[in-house]
Amino acid sequence: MSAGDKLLEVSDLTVQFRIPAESMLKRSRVLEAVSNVSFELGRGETLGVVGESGCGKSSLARGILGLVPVVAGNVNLDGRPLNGLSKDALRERRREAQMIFQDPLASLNPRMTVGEIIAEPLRVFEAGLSQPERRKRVEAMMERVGLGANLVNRYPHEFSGGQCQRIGIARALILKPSLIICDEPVSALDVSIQAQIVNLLMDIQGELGLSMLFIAHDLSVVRHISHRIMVMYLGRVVEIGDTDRLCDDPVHPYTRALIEAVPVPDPTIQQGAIRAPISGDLPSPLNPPSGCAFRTRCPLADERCASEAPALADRSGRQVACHHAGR
Amino acid sequence: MALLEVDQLVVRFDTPDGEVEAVNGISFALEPSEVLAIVGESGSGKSQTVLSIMGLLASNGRCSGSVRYRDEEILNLPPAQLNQVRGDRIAMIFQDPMTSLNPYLTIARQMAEVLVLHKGMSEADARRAALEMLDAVHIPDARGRIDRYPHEFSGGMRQRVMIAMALMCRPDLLIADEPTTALDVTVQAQILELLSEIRREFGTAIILITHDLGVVAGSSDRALVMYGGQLMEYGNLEQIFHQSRHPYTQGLLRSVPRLDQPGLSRLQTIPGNPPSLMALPAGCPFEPRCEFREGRCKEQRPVLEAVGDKHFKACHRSSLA
Repeated sequence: MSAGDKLLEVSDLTVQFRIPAESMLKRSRVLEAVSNVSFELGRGETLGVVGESGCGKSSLARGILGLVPVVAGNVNLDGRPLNGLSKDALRERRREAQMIFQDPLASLNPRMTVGEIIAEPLRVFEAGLSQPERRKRVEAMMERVGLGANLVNRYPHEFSGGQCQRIGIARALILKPSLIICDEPVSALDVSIQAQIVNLLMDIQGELGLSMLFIAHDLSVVRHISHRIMVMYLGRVVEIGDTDRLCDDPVHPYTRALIEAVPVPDPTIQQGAIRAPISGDLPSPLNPPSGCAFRTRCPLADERCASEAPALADRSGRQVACHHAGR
Repeated sequence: MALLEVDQLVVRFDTPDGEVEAVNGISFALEPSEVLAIVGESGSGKSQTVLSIMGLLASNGRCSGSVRYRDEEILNLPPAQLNQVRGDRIAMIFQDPMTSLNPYLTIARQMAEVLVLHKGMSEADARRAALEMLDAVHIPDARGRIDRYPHEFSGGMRQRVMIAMALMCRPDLLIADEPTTALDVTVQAQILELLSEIRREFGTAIILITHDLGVVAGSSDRALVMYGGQLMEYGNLEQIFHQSRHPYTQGLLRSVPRLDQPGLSRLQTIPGNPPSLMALPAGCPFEPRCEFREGRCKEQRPVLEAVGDKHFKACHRSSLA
């Protein structure tokens, strides 16, 4: 990838939330949801972001769009900064980056018709558009995402989960953004519907040459849709690399555990009962372990891991943050 | 003798908008220490099937048919009689352990209650038994944790507590309704491993309800596929995953992205949406989405027929590619 092919550059992004004190005698605490995350996203590329709950993947998405408090780091979209902007400037640039959410019904205003929902971004950003032109754009977009244009006057509750997600996709695409951030877009959907939405996202991305940040906890879906994958643990990037290489030959012990834990829908390959690759739970992000965040559950951990946080370094054709892996 | 025999189970709900046909004539049998997965998408009737077995349907629900536990009818028993079986011989765990645990009681109190009630044990004996069971489900430092409250446990630990509580009376049958759906994948693997350990050590039969075909492949002996409140196919894992004779099962298997296969290709899909349970078609509920549909599929509901050794399907097509 040459330098000009980059659409999104994120460097040392850190997101912190202040947790209010539980009582007068206690102090408020700081939860660092995203710690020094850096990565690049090429034009027309899909980067999958995976990790378990609390790993910071959703906060990362919101940090990129300036929806949560970013305390350090830079976000460049199309060569120009996206963070540190004034409210008006940020608002103007938001049309270039749109988001698709997990719960399709909850992210749609129940009092607006589908047509109004999809037209709203146009009304805000392309106010000069005439009514018939706007209607034409909305109807064409509805057809594109597989919703008949005849449904334009219906309300969200009249649609199924899969159809609501199509509405969310249409709303995100109507302004022709260059970046789409999908936060768990298919995890609320049934298997047979999930496949329809995954296909739709892949088709549209190819057609429009979009860049996509695809956040999900389901590694199987992420593998299917992504060119590259970034694995996060407790707010940090532990491994980032080419999809097939990372899935077929994971290097970081956490990536390895994550992949081993995913059950394969084939009894021959699964070969008997599922075995847990690692024990224990995710530590609290309010009180992360010293050194490497994964060391409390890691089979390879030693003293160095407790004192020194590993930095991302090139290893086996991808970047890994581990003192031991891939040596 | 089968441990549990379900015959022509029907579940209906009365709602202001009309009758919901949640389960429409399900029949299956479960052998002792067998693990049966019931798999289906939302609205397929998989949860209502087991809730009716446990007598836990919502107040607007009715069920008919027959459910026999060790040859005794337990469907629609009055609560007092049913309570001699449920919680004792048949126990159940749910998707969200937090909503099934009482937030005001310590783990010790909630766990001991089962034994005091069902076995007439003293509080002290019950506490000792609870501690043993927490050890058995691998709660670290069980002695230090037994007097804590549910909110002090993580999601995975709460599910372990739920399982321990369900096992207190050493039931013959554990019904687990999406027990790992709310958990992260590494914790899910821990809980599934625990379930198979329990089956091995206590000989407990398990009905595992899930929407995840990977979980089915990794944790059960047989699987029952449901759609629109009906049984589509029923067989052992080899029959369901590799010799499926039902277009819905086949479609479902093809539409799941797999971690062991390279991606970036289109997934095969099942077009359309699941049926409304308020207006089920007279024929096969899968007919509108089925690529093999024929004229009779619309009018005639297919009956369950044997297609192999303990392998059943409900589909009019006699052969499938």
